[in-house]
Amino acid sequence: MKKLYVNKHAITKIQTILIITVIVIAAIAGGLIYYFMTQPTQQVAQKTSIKIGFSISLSGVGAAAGTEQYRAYEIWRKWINEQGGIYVEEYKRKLSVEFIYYDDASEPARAASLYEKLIVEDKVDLLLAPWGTFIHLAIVPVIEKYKIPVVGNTAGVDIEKINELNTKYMFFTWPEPKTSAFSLTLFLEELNVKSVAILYAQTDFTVLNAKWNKQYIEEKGFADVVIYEGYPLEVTDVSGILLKVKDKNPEAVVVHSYPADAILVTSQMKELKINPKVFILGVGGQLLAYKQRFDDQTKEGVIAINNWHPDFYPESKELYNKYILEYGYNPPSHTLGLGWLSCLVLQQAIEKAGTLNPEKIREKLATETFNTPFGEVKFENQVNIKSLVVFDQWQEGDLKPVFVTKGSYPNVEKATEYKLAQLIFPKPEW
Amino acid sequence: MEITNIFFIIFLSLQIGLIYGLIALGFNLLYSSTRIINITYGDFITLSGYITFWLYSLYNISPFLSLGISSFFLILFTLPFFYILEKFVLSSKNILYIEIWGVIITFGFSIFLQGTMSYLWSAQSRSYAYLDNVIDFFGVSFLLNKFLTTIVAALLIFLLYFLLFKTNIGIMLRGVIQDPELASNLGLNMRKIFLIAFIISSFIASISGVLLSMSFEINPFMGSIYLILAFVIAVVGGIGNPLGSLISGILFGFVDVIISYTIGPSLKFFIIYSLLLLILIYRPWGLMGRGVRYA
Repeated sequence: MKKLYVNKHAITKIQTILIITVIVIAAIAGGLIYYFMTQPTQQVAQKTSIKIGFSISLSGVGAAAGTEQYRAYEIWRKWINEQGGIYVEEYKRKLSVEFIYYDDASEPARAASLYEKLIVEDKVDLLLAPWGTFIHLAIVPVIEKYKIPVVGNTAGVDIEKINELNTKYMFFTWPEPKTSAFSLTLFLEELNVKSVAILYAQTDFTVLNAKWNKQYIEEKGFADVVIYEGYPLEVTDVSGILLKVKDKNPEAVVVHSYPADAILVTSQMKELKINPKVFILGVGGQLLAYKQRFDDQTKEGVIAINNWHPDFYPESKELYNKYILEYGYNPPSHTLGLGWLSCLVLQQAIEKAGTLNPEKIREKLATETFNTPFGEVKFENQVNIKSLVVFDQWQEGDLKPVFVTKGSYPNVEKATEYKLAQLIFPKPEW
Repeated sequence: MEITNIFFIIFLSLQIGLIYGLIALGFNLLYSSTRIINITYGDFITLSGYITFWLYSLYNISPFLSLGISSFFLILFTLPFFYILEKFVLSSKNILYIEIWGVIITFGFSIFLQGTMSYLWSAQSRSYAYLDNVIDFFGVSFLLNKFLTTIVAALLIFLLYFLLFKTNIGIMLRGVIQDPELASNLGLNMRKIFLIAFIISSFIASISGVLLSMSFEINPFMGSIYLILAFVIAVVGGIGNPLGSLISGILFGFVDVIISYTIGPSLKFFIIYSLLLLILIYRPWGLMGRGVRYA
C-alpha cells in the first residue's frame, strides 16, 4: 500500500509565494466586496424619499369614489413635496414622498395581493389605504402579517366588527355607524322634528346607519319613526316607498344613500312633490354628480352628511383649492376630506416617530393625539374617538356647514368652535 | 289606492319598461342576426351618455339634438368595429366559432372602451340637469325629462317596428334571423344585412344612452349593468324575436314597479330573477322565442 506523505519539497518557494498572493488578493477582494455590500446601508443614510404604496379602485364599482380618493392622495403628495417633504429625525432631514400604486379594480382579493406585492416586491416604506369598507377589511390580514400600519379612511365599519377583526395595524378614521347615526339624531332633536321617515340603501354601512338612527330616535323619544324601509342598491325606482312617505307626510326625511340612489330619491321626491321640513342624504348628496344633476333651486336646503369643510381651517382650504386648480370643481366631498385626513395623520405619525420603522409609527398612531385641519384624531381600540360629523346644506349651489358634532358614540357632542352658515329651515318646497 | 297613483304606476312602468325593451331589442337584434353576443353594447350606451353630457355641459346642446349627433358618432364608430368582426369572426360558417370569438373580441373592445373613457374623462360619476321641472298630466305629476324620454322611446319603438315589419330591409333582416342558411342560399347579401344589424343595434344603444343620461348619472363602467339587463330581458322575451324583447321589457318594467309598490323593493331582484329562472326552466327558448338553431 502506497504511503501517503508530504514531501518537504512538495511545495516549492514559488508555490508558497503564489498561495500567499492568492490569499492576499482574496482578502483584498473580500474587503472590496464587504465595502460595496455595505453601500446600501450608506444609501439608506442618504435616503431622499419615502416610498408609500397603495392600491386604489380606478375601475369597477368603486371607480368614481376611488378616483376622487386617489386625486386627494396626489394633491397631498404634491403639497408636502412642495414643502420639501416629511421631516424624519432618523435621517435629520426632510424626505420627499413617492407613490407606488396599482388599480385594484374594486376587487378585495386583488387588493390584498397587491398590498402583499407592494410590501414584498416593491419594498415600500409605508402604506396608504385603499378605497371602500370591504377593501379595507380585505387587506387587514396582509398588514397584520407584515406589521405595517394603515390609516384607513373610506371605511365605515361597526365597532363590533372592528373588535372582531382584532387588528393592531388598521386604524379607522371614518365615524363608525353608531357615531354618525347618533350625530344625526342630535341634529334632528335640535331641529325639533316630530316625525321622521328613514330610508336606506341595502349595504352594510347604510343598513347599520339606519338601524342605529332609528334606535336612537326611539330611545330619545322626541319623534316618531313613521317609515323605515330599505331598497336594493341597483334600484331604478323608489316611488313605491316614496308614495308611502307622502302618505305619512313626515317632518323629516332621512335617506342613508350610497351614492347613486341619492340622485334617484331626490328626483322622485321632487316628482311626487314630497316636501318635508328637512331632507338629509348620506353618501351621494355631497358628490359632483349630485351637484351637476340638479339646478341650484332644486338643491336648495338639501342636507348631506360629511366630515369636514374647507372653511374650518386654512390648511384644508389650501388643499381643496389645489385640488380644484388641478382637477376642476368638485364639492368638498367626504372622500376628499377622509383621504387628506389619513395622509396627514400618517405624516404626523412619521414626524412624531422620527423614523420610517412601521412598528414605531404604529405605536405613535395608537398612543398620540393628532391635530389636523380635519379635526382632532385620537385612536382608541383602532377607532378615531374624536371624529367630526358635519352636516352640509346646499345653499345657492354650494355646500355650507350647518351643524357639527365631535366625538364617537356614546360621547358625541355638538361642536361649537366652528363657524357655521345659517340653516335654511324649513327646506324650501321643490 | 288613489286613481292618480294608478296612473302614476302605469306611466312609471311604461317609462322603465320601454327603455328596458329598447335596450334589449338592440342587443337581441344583433345577436339573432349575426350570432355575436356584443359585450360592448353596454359601453356604447355609456359612450352615448358621455357625448350627450359633454355636448350639453360644454356647448349647451340639448340632449334631444344629441339624439342625432350621438347616433351619428356611434354609427361611425361601429363601422371599424363591424369590419374587424366581419374579417375575423363573421367570415366563419361555424356558429359556435362566431359566438365564442364574438364574445372574446367584443369583451376586449369593452375593456378597451371602458379604459379609454376612464382615462379621458376619469371614473368620477357625472350628470346634468335638463328639463328637470315637474309637470302635471291628468292630475299626476312627472318630471318633464322623464315624460319626454318615454315619448321618444315609444316613438322609436314604432319606427323600429315599421322598419322591421314594413320595409324590405326589415324583411331581409328577419329572414336572416329566422333561417340564416336559407337566406344565404336565396342569394341575400349577408354582409350588407350584418352591417345593417350592427348599425341598428348601435343606433338603439345610442338613443338609450341619451335618454338614460337625462335621469341617471354616467360613469365609464355603468355599461355592464345595462348589458346584463339587455341580456336577461332578451332571453326572457326570446332570442330571435324582436317583439318578444319589447314585450318582455315592458313586462319587466311593470313587475319591477308593482313589486316595489306592494311587497317593497327589497325583494324585487329576488322575485324578478326567480321568475327568470322559472321561465328558463319551463320555456328555455323564452316567452316568444323559437330557440336558436345550430347549423
